[in-house]
Amino acid sequence: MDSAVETFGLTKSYSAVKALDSLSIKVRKGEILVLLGPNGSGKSTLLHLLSTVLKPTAGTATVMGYDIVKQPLKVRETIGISFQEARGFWRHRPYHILAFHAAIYGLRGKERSEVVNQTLKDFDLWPSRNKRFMELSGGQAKRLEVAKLFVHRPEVALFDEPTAMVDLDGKRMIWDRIRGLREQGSTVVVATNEVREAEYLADRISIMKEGKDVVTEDLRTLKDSITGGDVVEVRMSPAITSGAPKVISEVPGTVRVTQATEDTLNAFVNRSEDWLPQMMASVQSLDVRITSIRVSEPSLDDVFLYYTGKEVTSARA
Amino acid sequence: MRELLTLLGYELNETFDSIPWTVYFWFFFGFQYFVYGQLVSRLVGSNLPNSNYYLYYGTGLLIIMTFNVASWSGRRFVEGAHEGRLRYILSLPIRRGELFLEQLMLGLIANIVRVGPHTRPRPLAQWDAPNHAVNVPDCAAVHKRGCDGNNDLAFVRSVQVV
Repeated sequence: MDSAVETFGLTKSYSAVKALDSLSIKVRKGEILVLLGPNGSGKSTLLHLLSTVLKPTAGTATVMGYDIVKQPLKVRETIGISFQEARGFWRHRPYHILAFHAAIYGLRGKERSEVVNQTLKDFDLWPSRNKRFMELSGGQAKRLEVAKLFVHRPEVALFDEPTAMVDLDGKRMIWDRIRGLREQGSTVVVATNEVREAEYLADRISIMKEGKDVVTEDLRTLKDSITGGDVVEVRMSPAITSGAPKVISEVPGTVRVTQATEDTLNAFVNRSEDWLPQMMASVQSLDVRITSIRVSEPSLDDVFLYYTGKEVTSARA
Repeated sequence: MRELLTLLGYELNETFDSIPWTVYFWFFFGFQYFVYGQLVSRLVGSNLPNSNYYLYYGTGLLIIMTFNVASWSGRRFVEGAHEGRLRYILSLPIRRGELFLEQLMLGLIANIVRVGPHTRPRPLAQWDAPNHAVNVPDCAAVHKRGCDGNNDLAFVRSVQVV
């Protein structure tokens, strides 16, 4: 069994609306899989199903080999979930919230106190440990929500938008902790709509749209998969010659060519590294001087917009 | 079972975290009991065995409070679902049956703590429905306080309607 999580035609419907539509994905053991998708794409629903908070309408999934429908208790013993919105027992204090969480997962006595205290310090919650939950700021409450998973370090950790409402320093700290969790052997699934978060954390990215998995690949493969994703900016002196656009567009891999300024052409190319030498040779054959070349690969923003239904060029316009 | 008790302790801790609220709860019961009981006792006349309306008013309030605590338990459950608390509990490694049992126990304990202190006095009433004539049994044998032989302010542990 090399997959920690596997879904088989997982479907969740609310009346006529399908929040998740026959989803079949695999999460490899020990990887961080980021579910990236717009609001309402089914990311949170998937996490709720995997944590057995919701029951699927059809299909099923396994978590570390346990079926979420037939063995929900075993699944809950294996996973930990940090919810999108930090909600809890309003009158409790961070120490008690984490201590309770630890106790439920079997930690007792001195070991529990040590783990809880260390986690509070790791997440910069130590100064707020005696405040009530309702007195915490949004960012503190969110950090506390995420910190729960670091108390019992589950085999499969599910994070739903782990850095929403958290400041920049806090984001970086949480991302590093999540990566640390993976290095200690946990399998991590993160749902987010923040491209930067996905880029920082992901071993693989699953782009979701309307309850379906559009594509699941590593970042490099995703970027290479965009048609005309690389932009080659060619600046010529003294100006663009009339034949330049034509010869560039004839180079294999070139999807289209546009004139950016009086002396600059933009070529949209598939895997520019394969075609750049040929492109330069073609331009130089026109007896024109190339003053600069700049290649920019698509960002994950471009990939995200491309797969969720927008043109890559419009994303960079 | 360990998880159930841990969760129960945690929820009870939150429910009764605020001692002043529990004290206020008792205080307002006593206040209502005194003010309204006294007012209504003067306004309502009857041939019932205990003309002191406090006894009926107090019993009625206890029943209301019992229902109140029961509705509190149900409302807490629904509010938990809206607020996200229930979702968290559902994700913990606790059997659904144990969770249901825990919620029942929580409601029961909350009921006892909030209503329990007021449940001791009950009216002595063995009465004859058609003419409301009261037959007081051996008063000294059944009560510890309040029986003056005239059927007023008498207390026993149960009410028996003949």
